[in-house]
Amino acid sequence: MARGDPLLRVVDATRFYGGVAAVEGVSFDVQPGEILGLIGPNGAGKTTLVNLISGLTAPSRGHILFQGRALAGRPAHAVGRAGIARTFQVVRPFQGLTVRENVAVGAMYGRGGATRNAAQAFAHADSVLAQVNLTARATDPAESLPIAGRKRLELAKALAMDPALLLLDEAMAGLRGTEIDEAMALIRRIHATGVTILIIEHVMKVIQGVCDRVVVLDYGRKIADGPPATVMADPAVIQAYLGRRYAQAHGLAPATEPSA
Amino acid sequence: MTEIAAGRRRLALAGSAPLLQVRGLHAAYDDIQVLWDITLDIYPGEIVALVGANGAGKSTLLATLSGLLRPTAGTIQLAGQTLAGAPAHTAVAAGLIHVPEGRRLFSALTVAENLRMGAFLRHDQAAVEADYAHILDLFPRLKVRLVTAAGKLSGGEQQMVALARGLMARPLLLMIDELSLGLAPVIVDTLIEILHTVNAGGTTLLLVEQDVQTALELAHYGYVLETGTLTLQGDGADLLHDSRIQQAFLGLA
Amino acid sequence: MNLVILIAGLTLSIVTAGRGPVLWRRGSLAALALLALAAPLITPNPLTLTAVYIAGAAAAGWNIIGGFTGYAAFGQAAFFGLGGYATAVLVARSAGSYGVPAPLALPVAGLVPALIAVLIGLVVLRLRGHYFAIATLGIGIAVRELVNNVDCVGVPGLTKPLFCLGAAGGIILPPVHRSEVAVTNLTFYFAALGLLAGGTAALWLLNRSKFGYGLRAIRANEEAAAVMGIQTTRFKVAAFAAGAALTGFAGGLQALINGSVLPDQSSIFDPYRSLEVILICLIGGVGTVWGPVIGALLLYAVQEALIGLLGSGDWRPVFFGAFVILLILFLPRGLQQFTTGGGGRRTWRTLWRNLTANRV
Repeated sequence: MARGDPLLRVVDATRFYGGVAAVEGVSFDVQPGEILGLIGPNGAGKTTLVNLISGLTAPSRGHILFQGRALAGRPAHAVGRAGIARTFQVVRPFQGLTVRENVAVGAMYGRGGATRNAAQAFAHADSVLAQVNLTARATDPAESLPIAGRKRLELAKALAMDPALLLLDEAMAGLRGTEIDEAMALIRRIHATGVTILIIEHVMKVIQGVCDRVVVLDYGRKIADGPPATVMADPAVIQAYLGRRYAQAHGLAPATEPSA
Repeated sequence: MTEIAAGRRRLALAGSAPLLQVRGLHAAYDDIQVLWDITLDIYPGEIVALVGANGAGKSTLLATLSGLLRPTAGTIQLAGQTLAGAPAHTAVAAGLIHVPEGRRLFSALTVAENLRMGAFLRHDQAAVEADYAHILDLFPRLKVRLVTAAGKLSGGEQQMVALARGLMARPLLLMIDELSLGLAPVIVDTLIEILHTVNAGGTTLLLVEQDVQTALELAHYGYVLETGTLTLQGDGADLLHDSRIQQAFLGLA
Repeated sequence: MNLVILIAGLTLSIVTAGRGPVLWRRGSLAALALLALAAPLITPNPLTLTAVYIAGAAAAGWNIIGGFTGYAAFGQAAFFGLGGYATAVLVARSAGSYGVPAPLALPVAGLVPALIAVLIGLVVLRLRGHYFAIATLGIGIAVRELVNNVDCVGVPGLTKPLFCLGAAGGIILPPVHRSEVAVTNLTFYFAALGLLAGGTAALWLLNRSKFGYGLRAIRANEEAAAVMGIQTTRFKVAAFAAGAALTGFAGGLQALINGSVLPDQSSIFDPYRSLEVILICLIGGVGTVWGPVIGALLLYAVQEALIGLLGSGDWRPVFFGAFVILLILFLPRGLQQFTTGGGGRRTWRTLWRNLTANRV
């Protein structure tokens, strides 16, 4: 990878489900060290896009390049080992395993997994647990954590994989007030360790608080890409969130009508 | 919650008792709380809009009101009858009818059969027949489709069947989730006209919409839901002209 | 006498598997080993205990795929039977067999079911939940039918057949020992004990290995496991094959004890094995190291007790049904839930909570 090349390059990413495009023709880059936000109304295709990047869904068309290597069509475990870790919107702790064991699985099989034996994986898991402030719950069953704890566990599992790129799918959903502030602080701390982050979020305060740049999806297409303040004032974005009639009534209709 | 212009229209109604009274309602899926301390009133004869960004909890609030989800705290009263915690059929029997998002028709049944299903809990046969005729007058397009399977109709026609089926229960309060979603503007205009007629006939409406303009133009009064909390309320027209609604939808508030 | 040994063994293994003080657990493990080694001196008939160990070892095999990996296989009897037939082909001295000494034949006999499990697994492990269960149910039956209809298989150009399964006639094995019956039975007893001990040790290792954690991650959530870098297909196939090998060893030993492998239902391909291995793990704790041991001991203790009370006769179907219903109502996660849930009133509360919980 040459200097200045993007860490992740998404080119014309497209996925059809029975003739309907969940994501169509989406292209964007993620630069190393960036925190990129991905927003859009319900059904805009955000999770589908994350599934395409993480290898859970094969694209119908398009390319995904990570550190210059093609990822599209590669299985999820290969993507994980290559250095892309993700969380799920509906968190998926491994039931039947303790909090510590959950995180250790990430340390065993992620990017750094091949070089670690089980004991080394547990040692790495302990350091990640300390980072997300879950050490006190290490030996508890994963399913016994309250929602804020399960969200942090989901993050810890991904972090234990030593990712170069972290995909966070609605890491804040279900959190409130100070919990959100804590989670934002945690994301900044993770970013400070050199991890590039792509974050899907409904809570715009989070996007504004941590993102350098935002990509907006609507009906599977990219409608905006830029700094948060610029994007929030973009008529196309306002229309996507409040409806075309509202945008027209308030003189905010986009200059060019999006093609049907 | 901020109240715009002190709820101008509400002042006129202050003397009457609300049809639906919700106080301090909390709801959660397992231990993930979705609604916090929801308090709202709907007066007889009103059209009320509930608007908010996706993920705000609008559909969860409707599901809680209609008894599909048990609230963790708070009270729901419809015409003086306590509903919170009661199963869904109790709410239906009490006169609270939910037209769900995505319409949920019996797609293999005909339009006529779908409408009849709406009157499932009613025993006043003569009145049901009268309502059936009256409702078909409201939806002339359905008259020519009576023997067609509901699943074969266009999206707009399906929405009409869903509304007509809801009306067949002779609701005190009809709750409509995402009236306009996925429908052409001209169809939406037709539906709005029909809803005006229905409301003029005395049916109270609660409209849940992502299309802010459509909802608040139609409604007398509106509530704005933001990440599980009601943050703004006021007359529909006032809300439309308040810049805070934009911030609420974009999550900037 | 066997009943007493079974109950004593059961108690000791529950303590060993439990969460008591380390000294207790080590002590009861030592006592358990002593009991197992001394049992043939106490009991007049060690063959009953031998059957328990074989059932436990077969169940340990199922536990790898059904317990640790969470893929409920309903056709484990196929691997038991294949292990038996593979042993018979190696050991027998008739046409199409090899006359290999039994101790050498047994280890090889596990490889045949493992190999076939790889081939089957690559196809059926793409299925999930009910579909996988039904597919393995079909395989359990199909493998037996296939074996029943094969006499000799040859290679073109070779005059001798590659192997003979004897079709409906099965294969008769030569006597393993030329010594007296008691010594032969003792040999089988210790072979079965060794197999169960080895199987349990394998589960113990699996339980703390990276591979084992990978399997349990797959059980909990396959997609989440995949994005964490686990090669789910490869892991599942490996687990299926390892389980088939362990169950196959048990089948091989059973074939030697029987002195023959026959295609009829009551012989080595007894379809009841498929259920027994699952029931044993359900009783003892699915996906746990000691589950197969505890489950086998309890199941056979109850069986012994019932035979004592009701006289001999095939009571299996009756109390199996009752057992399954009681288990699923009261202890869906096995007896270990009972032992690790504390004691006294808390235990009864666990039972009640399980009964009243809504499980879909």
